[in-house]
Amino acid sequence: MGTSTARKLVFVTVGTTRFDALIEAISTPDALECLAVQGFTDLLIQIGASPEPTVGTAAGSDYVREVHDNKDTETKKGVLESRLTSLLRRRVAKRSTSGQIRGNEAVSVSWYRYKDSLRADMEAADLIISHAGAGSVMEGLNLGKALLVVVNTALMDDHQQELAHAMQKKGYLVATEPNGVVGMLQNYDQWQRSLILRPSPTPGLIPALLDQEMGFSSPDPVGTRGRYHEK
Amino acid sequence: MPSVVHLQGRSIMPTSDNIKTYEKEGGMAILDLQESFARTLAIFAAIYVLCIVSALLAFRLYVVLPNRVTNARVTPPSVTEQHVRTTPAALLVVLGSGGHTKEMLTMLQGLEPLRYRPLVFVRAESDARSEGMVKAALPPPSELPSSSVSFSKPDYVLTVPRSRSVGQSWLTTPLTTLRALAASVALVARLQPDVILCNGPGTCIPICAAGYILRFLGVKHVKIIFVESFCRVTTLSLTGKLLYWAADRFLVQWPGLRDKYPQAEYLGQLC
Repeated sequence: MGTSTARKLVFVTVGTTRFDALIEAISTPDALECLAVQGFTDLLIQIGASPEPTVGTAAGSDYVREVHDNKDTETKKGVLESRLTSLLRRRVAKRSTSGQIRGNEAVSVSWYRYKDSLRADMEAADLIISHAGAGSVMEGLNLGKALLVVVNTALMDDHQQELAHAMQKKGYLVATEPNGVVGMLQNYDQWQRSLILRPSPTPGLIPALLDQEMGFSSPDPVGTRGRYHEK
Repeated sequence: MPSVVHLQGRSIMPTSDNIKTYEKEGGMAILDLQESFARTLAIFAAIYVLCIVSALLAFRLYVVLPNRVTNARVTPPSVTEQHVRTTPAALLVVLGSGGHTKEMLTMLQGLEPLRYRPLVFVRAESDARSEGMVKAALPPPSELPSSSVSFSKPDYVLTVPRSRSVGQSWLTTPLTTLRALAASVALVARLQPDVILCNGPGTCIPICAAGYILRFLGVKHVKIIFVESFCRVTTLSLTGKLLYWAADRFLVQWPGLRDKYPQAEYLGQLC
């Protein structure tokens, strides 16, 4: 089914644990409508340990071209289960989505649990919606992608949020809570244009420091010690 | 030496339990038994020796702590004489789960391989991914100049047991911590690194403690360089808080932290 529209992918990642609120937020009819309006054709969700999204069985199926389960786990049991559920889901999906395809406005939803490396999916994405884990955030920024970070307000640990907010302050990404996701998607074209590309870090600082400490190079009289670099 | 003592008009038999001096209304009865005198002497001597030894140990610790912590005016000879090192330095890098290893490998880019031999990485036993990441990150032999020793992997990737697993009972934690410390001491004593580089995982505490033991005993002056993780914006990790007082160089990646911890260095973001 060749379409003239280029694929526009939004990739959602929750990391190694679970983030039910984010997955629910992104798979509501409103969210899918926003995505379709913004021209996204595909929604790919890495769901980690969270329950499967319920897209395709609710009213949101208006905006869903197809729903399929692309589970990628390491356990045999998981694979078997996923094959069974994917069979069922395809049946359900065909029933509920047939005749409801709306051409360019439909968003194709798929999901999986884990992959060894999310890099390929992140590279292919036009928008990344990520939990506030440092690894995902940095990987998204280093790829120069439009990044929407969703902070898990249910978590006790605050320091993940600090990184997201600090990065937002610098203009490298936007951060929100699960109930702000739809609002952000509505304004996507505005904030996406205002994002600043994060400059790559200066390489070689630690090797230079090691060389100083070990005596391979003479210490800088002004010194890197205590020097304040503000960007 | 009296065998009978007159006390308050009574005569009592001195026993080895009596070590007392009495002064009552001008009268004085001193119990003077050889055993009790010797015992007192022994106790005071022990206290005296303990004080001397403690003072010596405290002084040794003061000598061994980094200058920035003690505010010592003396600078080490390598700085003032500008003597350039010609022998390789043994570098021990501590890896951790999660983003720690990734950050560490990013920070190490540009490390001159000939200067740091042996190059040893240490990971926790439970860490399955770090070893693969290390081997993938190091340059293949073809990228090195032909005269250099070629290597496609670090000299070693060693393991130590974890001090405490997530959710482990606090009752068994002291035992596992001791086990981790013992393994770390064995590793560090065998390797005798010139410098330990770490960025915050729990594994680095026993490793740095082992390094300090070597330093304290005068076996080897092991330097510790600590780089706080990039995701620490306003607070230090627990490991950071501990090593703030022990590391020779302590780096943070957000300027706000330097305001809170004035002895930390800020060189910008490193990953």
